[in-house]
Amino acid sequence: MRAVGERRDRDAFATLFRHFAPRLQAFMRRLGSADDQAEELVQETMLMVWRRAESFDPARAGVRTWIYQIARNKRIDSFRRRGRPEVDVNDPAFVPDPEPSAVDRLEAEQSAEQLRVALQALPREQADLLHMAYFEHRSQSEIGVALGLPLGTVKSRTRLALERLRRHLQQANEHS
Amino acid sequence: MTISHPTDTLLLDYAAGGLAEAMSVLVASHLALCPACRRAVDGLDAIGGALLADLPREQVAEGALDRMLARLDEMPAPIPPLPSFDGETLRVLPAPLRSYIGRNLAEVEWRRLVPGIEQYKLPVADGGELGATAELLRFRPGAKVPRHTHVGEEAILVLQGGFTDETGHYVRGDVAQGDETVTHRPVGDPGEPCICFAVLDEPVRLTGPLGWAQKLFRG
Repeated sequence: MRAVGERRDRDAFATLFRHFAPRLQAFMRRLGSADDQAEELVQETMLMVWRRAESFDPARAGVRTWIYQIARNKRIDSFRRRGRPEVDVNDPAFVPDPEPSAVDRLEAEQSAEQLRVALQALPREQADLLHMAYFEHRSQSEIGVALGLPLGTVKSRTRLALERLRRHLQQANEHS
Repeated sequence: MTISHPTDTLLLDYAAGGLAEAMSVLVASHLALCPACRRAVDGLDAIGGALLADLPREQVAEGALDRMLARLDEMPAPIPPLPSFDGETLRVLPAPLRSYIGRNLAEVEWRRLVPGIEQYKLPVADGGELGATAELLRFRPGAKVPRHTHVGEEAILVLQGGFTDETGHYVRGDVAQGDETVTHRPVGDPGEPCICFAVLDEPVRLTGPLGWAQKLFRG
């Protein structure tokens, strides 16, 4: 990733593409995009990765999180006229962090792998809710309607899932 | 100091991409003002990153990498220029909301709703069948909104000044959320006029005796 950002290294970008494109293809297809539409969205996403690579801040988010953010925004933009609004750190109204939390940030990439393990360990019904939210862009209330569950049930199941993930990450950090 | 944050549900809906446009502008505007919620959303985005990384890989079409590499030198599409905003607008409106409104606060065509309260309705791109509304509201100090409740969900982000209702006191950066279980009567704080950005999924329902004010948030 650094080679792409600092040296505009095309070989490094090709490696990144080979790794992420098949996953992005799956992500785009989850929302029912046809193959060629999905490829176009994958290309748009990776093009943005290339253009914005210099601004990638490994202290703030892992590579996969950063690429997820770009892919999500591309997907939303594809069915909206206007781009998804983004927070701009150069905005005069922006309120910066009171203190840079260096420790949090160092752990961003490391915890990404632990998060993946924790997600795999979630009970099926909790994982399903997260998949519907992240892959199908359904709000919590829309998920309730789709599953015929009261909103309160969806919210409490999601809360259980998030708490489980957090506990898992805490334990992983204590052991490392 | 921000004390009233969006609910976890609203932040998750935002991170997962499930919010309609107006509500996502409201959350993004709060994030610009609230480091704590930015950290929370970073964590929720990390879940998205992990889910993406764990998806079963799908075959990309033959030649996709070559087509990709051929596009790297493409010039980015020009971004339509935004008007140059004045100092007041830059100070009061966070960037996501500023670009959504696309004009200076001084150029906003306020419409009087009731004495002391003005409204500026924004076009909503994908309100959908819920009939979402998005608007700026401006309260003169001490102005009282007629008592009302909501059919759907309401979120109000304070941008300048403050207001108080039965649920608390809200100042710049705070988000007040209400639904059909909340009946409230906001009152503008003394001092400068209170400016808020309000997004409603559904129209308000007046609960006081003032039926004439039914049109309050709907125009």
